[in-house]
Amino acid sequence: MAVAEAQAARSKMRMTARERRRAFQGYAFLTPWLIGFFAFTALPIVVSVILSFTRYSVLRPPQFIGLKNYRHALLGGDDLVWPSIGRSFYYAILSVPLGLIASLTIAILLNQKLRFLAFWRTLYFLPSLTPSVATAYIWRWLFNPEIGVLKPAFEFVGLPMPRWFSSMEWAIPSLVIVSLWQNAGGSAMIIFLAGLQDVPVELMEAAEIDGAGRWRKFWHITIPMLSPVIFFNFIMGIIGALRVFDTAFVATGGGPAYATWFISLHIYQTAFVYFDMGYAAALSWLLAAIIITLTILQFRLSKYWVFYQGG
Amino acid sequence: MKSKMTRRELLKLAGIGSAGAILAACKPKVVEVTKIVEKPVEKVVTQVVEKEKVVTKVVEKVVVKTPAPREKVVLRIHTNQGDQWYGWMKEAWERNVGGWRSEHPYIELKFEPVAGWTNDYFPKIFAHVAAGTLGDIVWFPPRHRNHISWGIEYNIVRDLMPMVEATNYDLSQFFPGVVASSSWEGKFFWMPITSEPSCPVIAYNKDLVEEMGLPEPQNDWDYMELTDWAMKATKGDVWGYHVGHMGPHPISCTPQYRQFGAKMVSDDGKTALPGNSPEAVKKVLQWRYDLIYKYKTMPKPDVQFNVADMFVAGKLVSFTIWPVFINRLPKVIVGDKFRVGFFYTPLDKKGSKRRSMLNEHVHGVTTFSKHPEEAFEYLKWHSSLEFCVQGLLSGKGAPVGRPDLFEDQRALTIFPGLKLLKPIMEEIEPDFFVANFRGEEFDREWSAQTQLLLLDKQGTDETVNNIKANCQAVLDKEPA
Amino acid sequence: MTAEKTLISSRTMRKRRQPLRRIIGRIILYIIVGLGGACFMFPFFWAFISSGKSAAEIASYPPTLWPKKMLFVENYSRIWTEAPFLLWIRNSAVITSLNLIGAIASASVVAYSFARFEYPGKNLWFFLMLSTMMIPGEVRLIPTYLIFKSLGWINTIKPLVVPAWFGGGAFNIFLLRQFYMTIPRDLDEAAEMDGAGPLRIFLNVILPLSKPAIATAATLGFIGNWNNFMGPLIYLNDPEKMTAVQGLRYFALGTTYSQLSAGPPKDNLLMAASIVVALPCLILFFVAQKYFVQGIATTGLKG
Repeated sequence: MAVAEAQAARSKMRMTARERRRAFQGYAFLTPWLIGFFAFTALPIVVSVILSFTRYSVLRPPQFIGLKNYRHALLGGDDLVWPSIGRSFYYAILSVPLGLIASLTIAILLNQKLRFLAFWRTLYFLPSLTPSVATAYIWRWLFNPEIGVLKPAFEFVGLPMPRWFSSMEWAIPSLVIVSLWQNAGGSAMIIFLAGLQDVPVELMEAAEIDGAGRWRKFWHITIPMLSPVIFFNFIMGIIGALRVFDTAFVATGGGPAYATWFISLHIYQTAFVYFDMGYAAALSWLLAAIIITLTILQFRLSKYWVFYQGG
Repeated sequence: MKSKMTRRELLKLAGIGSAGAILAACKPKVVEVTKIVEKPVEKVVTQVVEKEKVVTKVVEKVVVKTPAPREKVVLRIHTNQGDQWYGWMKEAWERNVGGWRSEHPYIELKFEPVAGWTNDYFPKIFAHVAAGTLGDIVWFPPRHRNHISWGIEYNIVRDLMPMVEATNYDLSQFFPGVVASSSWEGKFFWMPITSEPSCPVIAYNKDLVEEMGLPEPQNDWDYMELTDWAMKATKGDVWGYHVGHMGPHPISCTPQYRQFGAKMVSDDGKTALPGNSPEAVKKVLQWRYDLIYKYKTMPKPDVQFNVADMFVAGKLVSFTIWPVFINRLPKVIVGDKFRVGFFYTPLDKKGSKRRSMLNEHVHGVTTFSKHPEEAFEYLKWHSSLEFCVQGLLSGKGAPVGRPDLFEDQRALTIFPGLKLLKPIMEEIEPDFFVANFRGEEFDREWSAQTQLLLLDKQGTDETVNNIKANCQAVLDKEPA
Repeated sequence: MTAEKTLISSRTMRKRRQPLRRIIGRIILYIIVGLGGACFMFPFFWAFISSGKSAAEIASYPPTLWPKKMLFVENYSRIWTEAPFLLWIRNSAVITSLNLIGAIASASVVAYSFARFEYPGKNLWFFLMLSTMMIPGEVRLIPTYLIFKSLGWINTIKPLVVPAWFGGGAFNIFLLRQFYMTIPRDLDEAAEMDGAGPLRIFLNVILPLSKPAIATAATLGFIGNWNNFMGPLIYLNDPEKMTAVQGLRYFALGTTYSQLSAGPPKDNLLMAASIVVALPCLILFFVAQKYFVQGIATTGLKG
């Protein structure tokens, strides 16, 4: 009994010595981030948490008002909060799955043995290199319901053209189209491409020898091998979509009649146009809480479908 | 190794930084108050010391202290990047307009323009205020007198009255309404740099009107006369009349509501659409709705509908414009393509008095400025006749609310359209007053409801009711 | 070995298929890729066409497919003369490169820590790191500004560059960590057997294997920096320190997007400026492509 205990303790101690060394090394590699985190991220975040419990216009000293900001946001008093969050979700639900499918499709196409591969890749990647300010202006130009270049195309086909950014129903779908154009061939696609290149050739060959067809190889090898990358792109997509700001800010300014008034726009306006920095901080934390909850949920679910090769 | 150095340094600095950040975040105001008190005292002291220095130095080295050249003063100016502001300010200084630069060789101007509107500009200013790094002069596009709050509430800009009195500066060179707009209980916070009535003029394509065989539009038209004419002018892919710059936003369309007898907000700034104002608003909204859906002289409202471009392209016969375009449209924008004419927006009925609203842009001297006298000197130049006339002639600047500008022959010969503005400016009505200084929020609600109507999402009655209710909710909020 | 194997397999594949069927397949593939590419390029094409039109022609309907009177030379030269656009592009280049080097260097180190080491608090730090991505940046703006102010960094490029050297951004760390996780641990262990320390393993095993990920992070970082609008707006005051994207807003001001703003319509100049701003990215990406693809191709992950 005592011997077994001592043995266990010794083995634990032996483990600890190595562990301790590894832990120390781990922290050494982590140091740059720790410094940056405390100096440039944590401190401002703490200050903003404090501000969320105050009435603060930047121009006057903050006044502590307890939970009033949160009550105002959650329990009515601000009619724009929940509809804005709803709009952000609508945008995310439309844009993220469509974006992932489009990105993966393009990545698979560009992973074929094509001539002028550099040219094709650049072609698809170029939109994501364009500043969102420019993107917004270019698409406002294309989508112009009176003199836009799409109008003759619709007239040719004989369909009535939607009024795009100017219509309450089409404003968000229009932004989704812009986001697809901008992002489908962009970062997500490149990450998929890198992931596809990492799918072991042996696995594919082995499957081929077993007589697996294209679809089976795709579903049973490519997709599982890509799952960490899909997961990564999915999380980044959701976070990005719920925070969408640039294109909406420039292309529609939240209109027409609040049709594209996303929560990020509401926060920005509250903080910098209506001077309610404290309330904006509370709204930001509300949005942060939603995003963090979603991400934790996704991590929990990821166990069932994400496969780590090295893990 | 190098990064270790910076890291250590950074840690140290971050420590200071965090303390400073929290301190500054908690009480940015106290610093400014002391500054104001300090200022004159400091000045007196330095002057005395200088005199002493002169006396003592005379004994030692006579040559060193000759008539002391004035110390170089750098004025930092926060403004908008547009042609109307930064564009012309920079050019005027470089061109030495009115000889001001050579008269003030010790003043150096350092422009810090923001490319964008208030959404981009305010965060920048706020960051400066919070950190105490604001420059000497700030720009503001007032909304229902919320610019006063920067004087009395936030203490960002100074009361200019003491300097006006000390330098015997004559405020009567401006239209009375312009001075009244920036005054509050005997204090005067902002100097006008652009002052114009909100959208009182319609621009039309003279050549196109002649070609269509339509009568010349008249200055005393009522709404139905304009509508009839506009319907005749609408042919094929050419639209007859567009409300244009007189969008759904109260800053541009208030005179129209006033024309029908509406009060946007009660005089005390606390009640939205008092009395029978809703009825008057309804008439206007109905007309605007009918222009799109019944008379069909203009397309449905579009986020990106560019009236100026359509006009230039000959696809639009007439549209309501901002006065600032009166001097730009013919020469700068349209060029030699066709002749442009101007006439007044219609009246509710023939012979009734024309209603108006002052729209302006202002510059103020900040409480952070260490050189308020020099900053005020600059603003005087900016609001002077020569500065404005040359600005108009250059095609960049904007009219300022001074009668002599609207009579100036140089300006009038090139821009006869300016004549239309003078009678309005003489009796200009002030912007309405939002007592809790939440003018931007008020406008947002008003615009959104108007847009819902114009997109055919709700009826006129519902729109008026919503406007009254939502705008009242804004007015009931605590002060900004 | 590997090359031989691939060669054999591709040869057998070629033998197995009918040449005609293969050719048709290739043609269909090129048609799909070409059509997709055309869709993606059209907005640029249109922006380019518009940038050569006059202010009046750009607003005419039906739109002309090619400028009636070509003003490409005039419009593109007006960008440089109306504003110091070249200087702004140079500023963007300086900020972007300094930021990028620091971000990649520090993110790759930090990601290594997260991917390969066990230590108390790791999960907490990782969670915190991810959380920073989720907190809207707007609310950090003022407190962050105050910190840089107390460091005396306002109106310098330091706020836009220095933080990148300390962590390199949560996105990059997460991305690199995900890639490190897919590198088999056997490789580390083999190197450790040979007596390599963690730093050597990092430099000799992990880094060479993660070239594609690093190339990816660098490309994405470049875009993020090059297109950053809010940062320069807040931290830089002098017009001569502005960046290219802010320059775009300068031309955007001339459009009636803000109907209160004044000046002749500059939509054509805006389109020209947009293309000029996107051009360095295009050239850089096109040049880097070779190394980028090589980096992906030469990874040891394939066996």
